Amino acid sequence: MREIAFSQAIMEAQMEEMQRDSNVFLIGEDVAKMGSAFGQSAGLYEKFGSKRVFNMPVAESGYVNFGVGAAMAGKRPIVEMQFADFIVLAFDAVGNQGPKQRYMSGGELSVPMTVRAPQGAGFGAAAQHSQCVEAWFMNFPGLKIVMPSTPYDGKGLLKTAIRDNDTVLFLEHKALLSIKGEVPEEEYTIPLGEGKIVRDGTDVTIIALQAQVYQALEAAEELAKEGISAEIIDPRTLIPLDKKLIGESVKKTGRVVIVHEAPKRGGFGSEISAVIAENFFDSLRAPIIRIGAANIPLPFGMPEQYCLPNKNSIVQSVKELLK
Amino acid sequence: MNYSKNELLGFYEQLVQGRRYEEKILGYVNEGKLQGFFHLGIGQEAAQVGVVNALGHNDYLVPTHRFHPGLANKLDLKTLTAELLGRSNGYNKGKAFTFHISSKKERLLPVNGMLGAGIPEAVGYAWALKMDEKDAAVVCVLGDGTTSEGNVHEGMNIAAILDAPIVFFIENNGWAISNPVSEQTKIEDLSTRAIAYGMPGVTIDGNDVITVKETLEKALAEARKGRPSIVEAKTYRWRGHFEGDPGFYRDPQEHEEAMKDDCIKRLEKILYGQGATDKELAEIEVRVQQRIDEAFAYAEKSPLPTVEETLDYDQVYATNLGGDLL
Repeated sequence: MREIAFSQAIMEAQMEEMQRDSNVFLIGEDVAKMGSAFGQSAGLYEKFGSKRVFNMPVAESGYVNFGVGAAMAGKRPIVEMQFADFIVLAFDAVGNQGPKQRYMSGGELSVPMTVRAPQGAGFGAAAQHSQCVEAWFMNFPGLKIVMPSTPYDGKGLLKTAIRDNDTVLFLEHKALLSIKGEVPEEEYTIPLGEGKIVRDGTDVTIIALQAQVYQALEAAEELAKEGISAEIIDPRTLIPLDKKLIGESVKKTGRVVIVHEAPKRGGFGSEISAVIAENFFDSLRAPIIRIGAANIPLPFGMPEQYCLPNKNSIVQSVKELLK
Repeated sequence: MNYSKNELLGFYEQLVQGRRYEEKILGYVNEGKLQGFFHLGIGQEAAQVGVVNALGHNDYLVPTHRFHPGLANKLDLKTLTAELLGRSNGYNKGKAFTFHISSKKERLLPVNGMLGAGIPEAVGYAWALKMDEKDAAVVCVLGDGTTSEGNVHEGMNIAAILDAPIVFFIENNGWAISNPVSEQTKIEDLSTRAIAYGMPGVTIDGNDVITVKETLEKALAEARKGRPSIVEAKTYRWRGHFEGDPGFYRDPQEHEEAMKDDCIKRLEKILYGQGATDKELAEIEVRVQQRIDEAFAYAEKSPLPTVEETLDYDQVYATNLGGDLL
């Protein structure tokens, strides 16, 4: 199968959905001739023209709300944040406006808008261009959150997000945008709410989000050398969440490590941990361990790595569980 | 005068309907029969009725939380009142109340609880109308207080860039809760902000229903051709910010003076000049009151939402294809 970069997978998903439905359009900062800051929209302006792909002024709140309005009118906007960190400037639009219009209108309106936001560390870009933002949005009824880790999942899930009739926050990881992975030429979609077993195992379940899936894979390799069999689960979408898949794995292994790049306190790991404790407590053979970033505004440059979870912290945690 | 006596009586009836409707709400509030916060637009009827009458058949309206006089003339009075009282047969099944009310059929876009957010939303809606080649425009109403929100700047600028078919109607009632306009901005007329966006802006007398209607009609005609603009209507808020606000921050003398410019009295004067009789005006009062009483009686008899209707997740999510959304 052909291999393409994550950013190209994002571009293809947008291109195919724009071809499929003339109501789909793309806005954001530098999405037109520049093709987005990380190339996720390369060529779309040339292909679809300035009525379907156009730049917005530096006005995150204004243009996400613009998307909300256009969506209520029957359009299907893809709204790009240049960096996910900037989403705080559009917090109201993403959390308070898009996801709530349906209920507040008694089911008459809906906001089929996809907000794409590149997040995550890896560039040493300091505390306002490096964060993972998913946990900030966990408390908004009506919102869906997608967080893929591979080009294949990214393309299939983005296509579904664009077709979804609700507001979807689609978080792509900046450090993964240049990685390559198998993506078929043929069209496919992946439903929201289906997690994935990335690696089978029996001794411990590692639930990893986005870039940490790769750290977990390296950790599992190392653990295997010591005879420890780790299962890795990538939830892929946080809302809806595949609780069933998580439950089945916990029942099998009885031990859980949850790892994500966002800070540990209040991170999505806390939610997963609570779901497991509420529903599968009897299957647990050890306390759940959560791993997240240090409670530090991510520093500029090289020291960034000292704050983030990695293969070593995962290996160490698993070993603690198996003591 | 470009209007016949009958046309003027028609406007008069609408102004009266707007005021009596809010007085009815006030009565309900005072009796403790209503939940939520009520922001009344008594004194601002001419600005709102003027807007409602300027709208073309295909045009859309974004009202504010202080727009009952306008709504009472644009919407079906019974369905509106059912929504006001949070009933299942209201425009939004009792989920919106007049604070978030919307209706596709009536071309009414949602009232926003987050001041300013509705402005770029209205621009997005207007842009979509243009893309679909509809001969239509949006009137987006906002108060003077809201004009300080960043979203207003962002939304107006985006409207100008995209030549969106929209008119921003600033209903300037002089007060953002307790903060007078003079302490919100250094400028005299809020419409002068239009210069910053490269669009026209005009300030008018908001207590003159005819002026408001005619100005809006012209602005809408331009908007439908992709030329957005700002219309500021100066009026005055008679009541507190919400019912329960004692309003002690206002100078009582100035308050009394401002209320002397009553849009209903003004039109009354013109009507008498056109030969209208006390009897004609009294008949209107009776008719309007009857309509309003009927609407409230209907709403009171209407069902409140059930637990099942309230916890209906299909009203939260439009697409549910698997996984756990709860």
